[in-house]
Amino acid sequence: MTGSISDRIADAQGRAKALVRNGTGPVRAAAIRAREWWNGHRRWVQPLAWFVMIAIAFLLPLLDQWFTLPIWLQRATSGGTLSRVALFTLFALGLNVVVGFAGLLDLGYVAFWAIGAYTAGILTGAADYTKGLRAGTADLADKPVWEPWMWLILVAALAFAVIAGIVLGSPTLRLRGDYLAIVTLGFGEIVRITANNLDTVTVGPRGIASIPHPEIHAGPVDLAWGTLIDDKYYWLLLVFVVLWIVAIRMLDRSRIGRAWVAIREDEIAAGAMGVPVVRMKLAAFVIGASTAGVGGVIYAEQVNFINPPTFSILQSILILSMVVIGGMGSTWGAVLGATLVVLLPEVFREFEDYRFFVFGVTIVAVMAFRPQGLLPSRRRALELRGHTVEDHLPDVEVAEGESG
Amino acid sequence: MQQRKKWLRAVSLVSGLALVGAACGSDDEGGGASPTGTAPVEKVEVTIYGQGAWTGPANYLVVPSFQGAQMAFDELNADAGYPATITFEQADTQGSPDNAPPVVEEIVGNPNTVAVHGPGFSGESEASGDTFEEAGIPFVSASATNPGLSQKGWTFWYRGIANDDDQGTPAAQYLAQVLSASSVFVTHDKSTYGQGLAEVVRDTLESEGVDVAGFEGIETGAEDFSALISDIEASSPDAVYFGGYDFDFGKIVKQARDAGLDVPMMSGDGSVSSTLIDLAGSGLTDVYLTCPCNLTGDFVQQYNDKYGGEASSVPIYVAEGYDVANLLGEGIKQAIDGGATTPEEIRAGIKTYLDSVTTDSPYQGVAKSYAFDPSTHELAATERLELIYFYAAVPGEITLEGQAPEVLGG
Amino acid sequence: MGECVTNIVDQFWAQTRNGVTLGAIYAMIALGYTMVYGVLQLINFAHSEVFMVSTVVTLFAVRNWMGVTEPVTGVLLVIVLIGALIPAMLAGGGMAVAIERLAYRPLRRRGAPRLSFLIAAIGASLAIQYLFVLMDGQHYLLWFKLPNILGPNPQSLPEVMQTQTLFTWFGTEISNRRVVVVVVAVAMMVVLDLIVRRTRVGRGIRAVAQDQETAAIMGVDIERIIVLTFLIGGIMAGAAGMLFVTIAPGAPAFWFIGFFPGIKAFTAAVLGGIGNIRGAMLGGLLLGLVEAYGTACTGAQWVNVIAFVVLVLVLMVRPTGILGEQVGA
Repeated sequence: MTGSISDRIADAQGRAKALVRNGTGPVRAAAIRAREWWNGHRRWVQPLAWFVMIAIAFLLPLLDQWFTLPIWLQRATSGGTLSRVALFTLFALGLNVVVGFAGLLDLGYVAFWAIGAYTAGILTGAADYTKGLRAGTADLADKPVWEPWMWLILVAALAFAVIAGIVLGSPTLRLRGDYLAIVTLGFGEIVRITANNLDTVTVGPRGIASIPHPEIHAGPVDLAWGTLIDDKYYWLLLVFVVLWIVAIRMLDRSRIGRAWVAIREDEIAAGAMGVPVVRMKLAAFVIGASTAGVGGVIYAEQVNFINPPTFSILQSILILSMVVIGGMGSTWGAVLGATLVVLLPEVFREFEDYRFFVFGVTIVAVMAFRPQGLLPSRRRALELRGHTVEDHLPDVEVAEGESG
Repeated sequence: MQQRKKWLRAVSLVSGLALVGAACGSDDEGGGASPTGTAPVEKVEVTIYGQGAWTGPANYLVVPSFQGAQMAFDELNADAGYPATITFEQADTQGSPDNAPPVVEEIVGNPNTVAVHGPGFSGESEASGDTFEEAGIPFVSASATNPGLSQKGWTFWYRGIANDDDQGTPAAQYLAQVLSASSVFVTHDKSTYGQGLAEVVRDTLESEGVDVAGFEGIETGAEDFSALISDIEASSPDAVYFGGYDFDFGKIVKQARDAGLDVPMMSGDGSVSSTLIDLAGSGLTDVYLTCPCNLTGDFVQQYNDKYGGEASSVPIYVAEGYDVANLLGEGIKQAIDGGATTPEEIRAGIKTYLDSVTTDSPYQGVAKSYAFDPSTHELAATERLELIYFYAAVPGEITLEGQAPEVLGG
Repeated sequence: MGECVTNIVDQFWAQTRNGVTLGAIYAMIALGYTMVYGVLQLINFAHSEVFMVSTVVTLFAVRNWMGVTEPVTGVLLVIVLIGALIPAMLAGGGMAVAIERLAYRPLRRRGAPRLSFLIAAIGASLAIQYLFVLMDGQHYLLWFKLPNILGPNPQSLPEVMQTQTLFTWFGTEISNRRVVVVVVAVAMMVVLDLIVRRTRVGRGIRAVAQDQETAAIMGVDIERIIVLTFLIGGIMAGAAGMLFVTIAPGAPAFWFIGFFPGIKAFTAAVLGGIGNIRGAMLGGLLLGLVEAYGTACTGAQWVNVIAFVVLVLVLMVRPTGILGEQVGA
């Protein structure tokens, strides 16, 4: 509850500024009233709404069985598509902590996805099997099967991602914005190239095949995940997405979250006020990394094949665009951004050759009309407007000067 | 259920088309409703998906094979005596396994699907294969050449092209015996295909007693290879082998010749293309290629005429794509002639047909003769070397030297 | 390790030559990045597409408009090169200004966060790439049939210049192509340096780079300076693209060609001190040499790893690059 007073002050300020900027349209007034109502019903309505939302999300892949859906909706709600949405949502949530919360521009996020995926590929024995198959020392009978301990790979991947995050982060997080961007980009490439070159460990460009699908056999629970398009992968990923959303929102409201805000606003001032700047940055970096590590494991177990070209820099850029399109620093923005960026090209398969052209134009348009993203974080939006006392006002003058 | 979905697909297809602005009446070929017809044969509607990189940086490698397939399906559909109407749908993964789940789900989810032409790349094949296997959908690739694919134990998978092992061995023998090289520098592009091929060449060279002066990967897509070339020059080999694609090999040849490196250079089917001729330009001397394809047929010409500006620079996969499509088409025909009516029965029928294409009763395509090994589903040949053709490249053209047995024997 | 050292010693002069040429190419592309960054603190990700468009224009100029089919020499060569250079530079400049108008200006007007610019640039980059893929004479954009300009396949250019050895240095042959590339890169840098340091526009650019608001108060037309910055950066990319496909390695025109050189050039710019014109040259050179020696040392497959490790090491010692940031410092 400590955060609520400052939240409310922020709220009031936000509304005031919004009024100044946008006037008092009926839609905006309604939105403000809705928000007030929402904030006033923390005890029952909010948890209930959450529950309903999660339930709907869980039921999405079943819609196709109950209703006749148009083909685009069939595509959007197929387990295969949704699992991709959930995977990238997880990544966007993780990167959002790094980019949105702590303000660190990371262009090599894919590295941690790769680390998670390769952890799974190597620890499950799939790497050895793939090598053995090629060398003629193994055959189909040796194909790795799922063992209960393999759930611990999630923990191992998390640990490896954290270590990698610290190794990369500790020397480089002192760098300022764009320098950090190029160094992280380089890190992403280093991980991909290393995976491609270290044939003895990662099987190199051939990739690791036959990574086993997960299973749970505990008492009454008897679950076995099937191939690629099993809806259960979506549900598994969704569980992690929900967990992560809860954890990240708690973090954001904690002391760490406030430290990030301080760093993002003014690193030097934050340092002077006793915020451990590098340690907090490292924390953000590591949290982001571990998210991707966990996602990477599930990815590897679903697709059951990983190879280095998958982890190209273009994926990092894709995930970053989800975060920015959704609204930096906004958890729901990350969810929305990931959903849109994955779904749009899938839904519009009809357009085939035009898809990526349209995608590019859409990104430019979204940025032009909503540079803060589709669902900007309120706290972050305030900061931006706060900055505009310096940055925005002269801008307005310039614009007026031109029109006049 | 099935009828309903088919109807839905038709509706959404029409609305989709209307959205794009193309006017198309669709569905006049009888959505399967009319029980009696005056047409010579009542046509069954089936769908075949072409899975691979329809878009993205790697698309030029597989789009041609799909264009070839489209030609085959167009011909079959136009044939009044052919018992099915085949819709050839694009299943675009951009060649990457991480794009596979939605695509594979759409293929498996479509009740009309009878087969997959592809997947185009080895990586996406690994990712998608188990699902197709479970669904009982035959999937035949005309371009994924990783030898590991036949070790997966898939029964519905077939490969209409020789794998990397088949090609690497004769290439190395050619270097050792015909070019009499005593030391060879082997490079590759660090791709599944390129490195796989280069490894086979390296191992065969070593077993032939040839010194491998160097084995190193390049940075694919780079434009300036002079550092690599200086590295090669420093070890002064008798020949250079490159495992990879035309795009890199053309530049390497050109820049090597510019730098005064005049030793023979050799590469595999990925480099057999007009892009190689274009990029290497006047530097294309003493360059030799292997390919599990016969490019002298007139089919490639037909293709170039049909697609004009869209025709690809890698015509080898075109004929393979055309043949694989016809194999599937023949499978559908035999299935329907054998009484199959539902897509499930047709899928099984296609498999039965593909299984019957053996060395005893091969299928004669425009590229070559096809026969599948009953256990591995790789191409079978009485003499594996017969699958491989040798080519020599000179400025402006690539000429056939002959089939591997005669070239290596002579 | 020992092998690495002996290899570098054996190939020292050859790899130095390779590294210098490669570095010159990186530097040429990096100049455009650095200009825009110095003024706006903006990584212009779409810069590589400006580069790509200029390679396409060069293709048309050489193949279609001038009808070159085989290598030319002497005065004719100079005419052909200039005949390709001018349209390439115009296209590059035009493209850069168009990107500024469509992708960046709306964001600047709204005081968008800096990352939004980056994402808009990535969007613009994608749109331009795929627009050229669609331009194969078969596709429509709304109701207009797109012309047959590039399409999905790489299209190689006719050879413009015959490779000849100009002189030998420590047993290493130096070809005419390499000399042209290095000379042009140095010339471009000097011209850019002079523009920024000596002209009125340059003074405006420096003023805006230092402090936009003060510059505005002092009567500098900021919008105009920003457009000019993009224009100059684009012209530089245009010249680099033209040289890249005709003289340097003789690459084809291809819709994806801008991506990797773009990343490398950006790395070079950061290495030298982004925003710093001489830094771009130095960074390019250093990166080129590291890659060349790295190839000799470990083989080409580890080159990018070595390059990025060197970048990290340099940044740890000098956090703003070797020469530091600042336009015209």
